[in-house]
Amino acid sequence: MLISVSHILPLTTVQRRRYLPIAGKVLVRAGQEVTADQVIATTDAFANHISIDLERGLGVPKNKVTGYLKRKVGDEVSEGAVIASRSGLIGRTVRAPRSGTLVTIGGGQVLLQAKQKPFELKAGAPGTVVQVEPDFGAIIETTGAWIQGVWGNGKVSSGVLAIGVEQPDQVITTRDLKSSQRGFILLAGYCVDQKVFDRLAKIQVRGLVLGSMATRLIPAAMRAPFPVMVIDGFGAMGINQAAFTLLATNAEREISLNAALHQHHTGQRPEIVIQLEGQGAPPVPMDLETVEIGKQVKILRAPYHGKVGTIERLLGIIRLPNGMRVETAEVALSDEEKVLVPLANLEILG
Amino acid sequence: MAEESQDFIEEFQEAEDSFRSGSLMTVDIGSITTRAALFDLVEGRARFLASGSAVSTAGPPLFDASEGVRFAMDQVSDISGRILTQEDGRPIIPFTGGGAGVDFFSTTFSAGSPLKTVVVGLLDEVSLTSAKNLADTTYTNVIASVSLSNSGKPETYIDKILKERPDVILIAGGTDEGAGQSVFRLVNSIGMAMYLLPEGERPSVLYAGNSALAAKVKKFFDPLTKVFLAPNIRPALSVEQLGPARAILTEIYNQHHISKVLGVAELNTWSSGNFLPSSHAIGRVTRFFSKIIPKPETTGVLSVDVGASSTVVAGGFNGDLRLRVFTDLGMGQGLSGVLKRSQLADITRWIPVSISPNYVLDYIQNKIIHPSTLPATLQDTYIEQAIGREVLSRAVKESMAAFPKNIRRLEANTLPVFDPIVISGGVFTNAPSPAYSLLMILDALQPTGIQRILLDKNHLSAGLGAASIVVPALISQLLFDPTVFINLGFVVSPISRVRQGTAILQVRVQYESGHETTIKVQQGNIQSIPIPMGQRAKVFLDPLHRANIGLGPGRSTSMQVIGGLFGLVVDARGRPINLPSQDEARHKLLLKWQGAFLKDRL
Repeated sequence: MLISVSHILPLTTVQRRRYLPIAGKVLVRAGQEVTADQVIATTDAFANHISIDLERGLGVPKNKVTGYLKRKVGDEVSEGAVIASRSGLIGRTVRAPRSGTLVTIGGGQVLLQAKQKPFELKAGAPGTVVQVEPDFGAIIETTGAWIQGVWGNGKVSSGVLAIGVEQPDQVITTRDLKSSQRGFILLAGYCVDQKVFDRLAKIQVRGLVLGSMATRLIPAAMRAPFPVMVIDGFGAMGINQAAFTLLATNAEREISLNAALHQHHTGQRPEIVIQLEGQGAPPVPMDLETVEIGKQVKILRAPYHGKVGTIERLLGIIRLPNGMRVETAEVALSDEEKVLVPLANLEILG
Repeated sequence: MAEESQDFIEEFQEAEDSFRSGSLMTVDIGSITTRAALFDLVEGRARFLASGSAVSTAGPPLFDASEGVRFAMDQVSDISGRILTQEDGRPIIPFTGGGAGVDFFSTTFSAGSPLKTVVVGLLDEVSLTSAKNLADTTYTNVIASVSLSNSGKPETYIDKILKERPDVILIAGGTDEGAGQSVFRLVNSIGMAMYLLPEGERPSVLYAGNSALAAKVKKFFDPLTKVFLAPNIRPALSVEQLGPARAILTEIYNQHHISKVLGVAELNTWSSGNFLPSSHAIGRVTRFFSKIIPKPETTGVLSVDVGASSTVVAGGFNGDLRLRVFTDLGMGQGLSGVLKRSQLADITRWIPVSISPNYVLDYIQNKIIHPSTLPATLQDTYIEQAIGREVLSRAVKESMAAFPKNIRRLEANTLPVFDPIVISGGVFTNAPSPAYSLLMILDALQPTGIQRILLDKNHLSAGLGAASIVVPALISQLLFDPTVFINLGFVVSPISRVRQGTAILQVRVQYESGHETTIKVQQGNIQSIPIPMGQRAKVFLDPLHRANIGLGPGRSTSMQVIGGLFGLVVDARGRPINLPSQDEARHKLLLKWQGAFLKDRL
């Protein structure tokens, strides 16, 4: 049976495909080094348009409006510029309501694309551009530690990692926050208090990484001006030991936090990349692997949600205490603690 | 609709003799699971042999739908002992003399992104509603609705189209020989957006409005994109005709996925064109059931498939199909839609133990992230089943507006009388026991009158729908095959206004053995009267205190019943089921119903 892999790796090769959702302009070239915050592509396709009714403005039938145009498609116009005018006893003039570009004319109307800041796509991770997809983006490769999460608020940042709690299952409260954390990306077990986000915004941290958080805090996390990434899920179960240990060993290092929204259709997940110098890093790991005895796994559901262990035995279909008959593995959480977990509730770590 | 139904019957009759002996492989690719099933047909007699499943691979990380199909087929091969694939993984078609392969292959598909759709109509309550109804017949995500009254300035939807990049634009509007100029004003603005999109990224257009304008609309859009024309879906103010346009929309859906999802084109080739959206295939089965099962004209057949990402509701009414697909209702990613449509209390009221609402919210969010995971504790099982009830209930309630107006119901605001009701979906089929499945279904649908409840244990509905194109006999023969659809039982749900504890129905069962049982069921209770699986029994139903079992207040009936898993079930809990608002009392009542009904079957 194949199951998905969650990457928590101290040293690997990470390849990130960073494409615009729609065509635009790519600003980097193959071989170029980029930082996580660097804009690699832009597009105007999210610009707003304004439809200007020339038929009404000029008071002429729509099949006659082109005769009164003072500008043509593709022209840039500033606010108040004359687009069309008609002289006569009662002259009429149609002006641009905003600065922009005339993009099309038809049906007695002209469409103005208003000037505004283009949409910018950031690299999301530091590294080298290994491939450019013209008009859309690039593939960026880096070597380093890689930790994937399950939820992000859509923001990207980089900064020095600070460990905000002593234990992986420790809750973060406003009492744990200090102004000295300004500019850091903070790591904590879990969060159940909305005030933490408000306080962190005031302190001006550069990001927050949690093992879990309460679902009701999602709106506050989405509003936060810094990236928020959840590694294990929702609730109050802290951060899994493997991720905590790896991040703790990288405390005080510069990390890239791409708190991307989790998208099932594309496979996009939030992630942390810590660029490390290293020769001979293992190749890009697999995202799907066969369940086998000895593999390290993370448990995705209660009662062991977030725990990490090793598959000891594959038991086939057995009846669980809740009555369900499912394919199950025996997972050793430690030498003493062995638990039964449906295969569907496991993710391989690797 | 009558014309559409006639075509359907002819199509089946034509196919009747084309395939009488051989083997069939059906494959259904869902967002989480890909399932394969093998059937044999010997001199017209069908037999279900084996099924297998694997993780779906249409999405990340493999992005190749055919890989999951190969894994699922390997499982079927292991179970059945039949070699089904060649060395390169392609199926062996046709069946060889050496006992390998299959003669027929079909694929149904619901994975991948729904079609991003813009619906356009003139009036909100007329053509725009019909355009939305058309979109709802397959896997679409309506990203914008444009009409004369709702859309404001054209730039509003021009920007939306440019930003969201729809896959298809459905245009309706104007009765035949009705409005023309207004329709064209909307068409013109859509054309502007289309012009601004790069070639190759322009959505297809399906025009199903005023037929007199069809040629003009085609001429307008032809230089820009692919245009499909369908007969007007609202030819008159009071007439909605979705059938022909639905078939074209299905074709657009198929072509979109064949070109966008790796592996689908290959599957389409293996299937010799028998590639259908799963919803469409479920609709075919439902429509077929509604034709072949003898019942009163005004009684329909209901099929509901609750998937991880979407839910399909199909109502069959004597060959007339009403289909609704909810792409934002399901037990995985579809849970985000549940939270938008329902209150948390709609879910928690069905949980028979105390659980913090925050824990339920966390449960839902975790399930959205990991849709294939299963509840592993009793507490989580209760939550999962409570959500399953709400998804099933919500989907059917929201579909009822599309059912025919003359369909029989015992009282206003109750579920119309359907027989049978066919339910599929992991939350029901993976329940700890079929007793849980039946209780979930009854709580969610709260049927009235008398009907059979069938459980699609092996998720075969969609595959059967696709296979029925060449082997209609497959459906009629397997409908009551307990290895395919599990007959959970005949359910009698009387309606009565008497107080709790009063006897409202006397049930007398005469078994084949000659043995006889008589019981009285009280208002507020749910009770199962065993009839051994597959055995016949004569059942006499005598309502007391003018209770109504579907024939009118106090009217009795008798009927032949074939035993299902739970024999005859009398659900006398009232309609609607009123649950106490006080937590402790509600938990006690839910556990009582569980205990009384499930007994030793848990």
